[in-house]
Amino acid sequence: MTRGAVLRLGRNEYPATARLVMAIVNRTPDSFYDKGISWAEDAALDRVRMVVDQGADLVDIGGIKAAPGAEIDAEEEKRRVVGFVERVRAEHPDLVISVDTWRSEVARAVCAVGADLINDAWGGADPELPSVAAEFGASLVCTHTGGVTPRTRPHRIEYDDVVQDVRSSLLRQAERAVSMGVERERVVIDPAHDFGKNTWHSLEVTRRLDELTTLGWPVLVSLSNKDFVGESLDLPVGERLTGTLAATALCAWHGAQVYRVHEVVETRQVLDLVSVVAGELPPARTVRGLA
Amino acid sequence: MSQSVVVVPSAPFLLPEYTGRTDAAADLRARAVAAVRDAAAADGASGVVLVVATDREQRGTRPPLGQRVGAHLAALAGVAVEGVVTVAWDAPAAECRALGEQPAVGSADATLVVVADGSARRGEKAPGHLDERAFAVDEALLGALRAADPEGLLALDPVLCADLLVHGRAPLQVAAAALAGRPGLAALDVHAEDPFGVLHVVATLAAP
Repeated sequence: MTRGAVLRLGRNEYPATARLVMAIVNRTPDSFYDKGISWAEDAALDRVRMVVDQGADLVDIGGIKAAPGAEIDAEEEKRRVVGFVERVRAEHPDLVISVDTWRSEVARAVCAVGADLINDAWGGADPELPSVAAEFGASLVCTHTGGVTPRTRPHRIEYDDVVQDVRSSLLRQAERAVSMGVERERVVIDPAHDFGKNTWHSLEVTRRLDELTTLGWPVLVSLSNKDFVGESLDLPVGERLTGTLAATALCAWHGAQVYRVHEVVETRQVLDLVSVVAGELPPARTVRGLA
Repeated sequence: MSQSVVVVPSAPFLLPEYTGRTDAAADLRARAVAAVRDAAAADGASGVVLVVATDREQRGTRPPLGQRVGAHLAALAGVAVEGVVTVAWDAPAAECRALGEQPAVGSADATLVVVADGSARRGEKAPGHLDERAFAVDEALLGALRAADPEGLLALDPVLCADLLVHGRAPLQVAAAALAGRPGLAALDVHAEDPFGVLHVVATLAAP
């Protein structure tokens, strides 16, 4: 069964074997991992410069943390991200810019200033989002959340078969996006670990990720420092990098194509190692036993 | 009509299937290809004859590495391989001499490309670790090439060379026998390097 699919982001086209690093850039004061380190716009711009230097293929800019918290309305979300996207675009004309938002109003504003990808982390909560991507020729991430309300935690959710639920939800959303005018090669699917899922669900999705990578759509995974890693290893935020990287390697072996991460350098190494083992990328330099 | 002899390395990292994203052998390969191309052009030869050793440890069914590397370098140089002379890597000097004296080798209307290396024991990190004797033997090999002295090559000791992982002694002696007594034989260029503990040689000798 063929894994992955050709993916188009901005002006770039990536083959099914590409493994891309999407660096998280939070314009939030309260995200779980970085605790507001790039809340100030200049600090966020510094982070963009750093991750680009580290080899990130794209950045994912978000103005609202995923967990419950103070309500951020669309106006405030736009204040946090639109001007910032504009500055990033001006400074990095070739960088693929993603914005993490579920609101079509915000998506329209960021696409107008140069965003290439709308990362709809809340599973189509705003049904108009694909029409914005279509209007601007942008790419779109469709996610599985089990239908929960944005910024809520899963509580006592059960599925007969979580992977089947993910599969049918993502296929429905992806086909709907295409029917609304989003170019087929610009649609990405994300099972959304920990969104609408307990740790058992996220582990099963990881174990059976090949059932998603063979659907004919590029798969994005967002694993970085999440609770399913923490609960698997009994480790708090701040001590989950090794576990994150192990999960990253497994998803890479299954054929995921985009990795939304905090740590770019480590992720790049893991992905390159998997690509090299898979025979999809030559080793960097080989001399041992060959001189 | 002149006949040239070109010495090129037999290192597998010269082959595309062993090349990583950064090509560790780019400069060496370019130098070897240029030497083959220039010699064949100077000779006005229709092609080249490869002189190669068998692999020291034959594990599969593929032709010897030396033959594959030589053929690849010839292809990059844009010259045809018209023949391959294969000598056992551990053949006694007398056997090498007899092979080189055969008309098919010495008087072929083709440039000889000898695929050969010096010792692989030239450092702590070398494939065969460090053996201090390697330097003198390699110097004797290089000195004979620089002096265009076939008898110097034929005097290399097969047992010592085997000990020092010199993977070019036998084919060099075959070529030396083919050149012996050739008037006007001269070394045009002898380049040697050992960044990985193995002596790689790119050399061109020519007889008018």
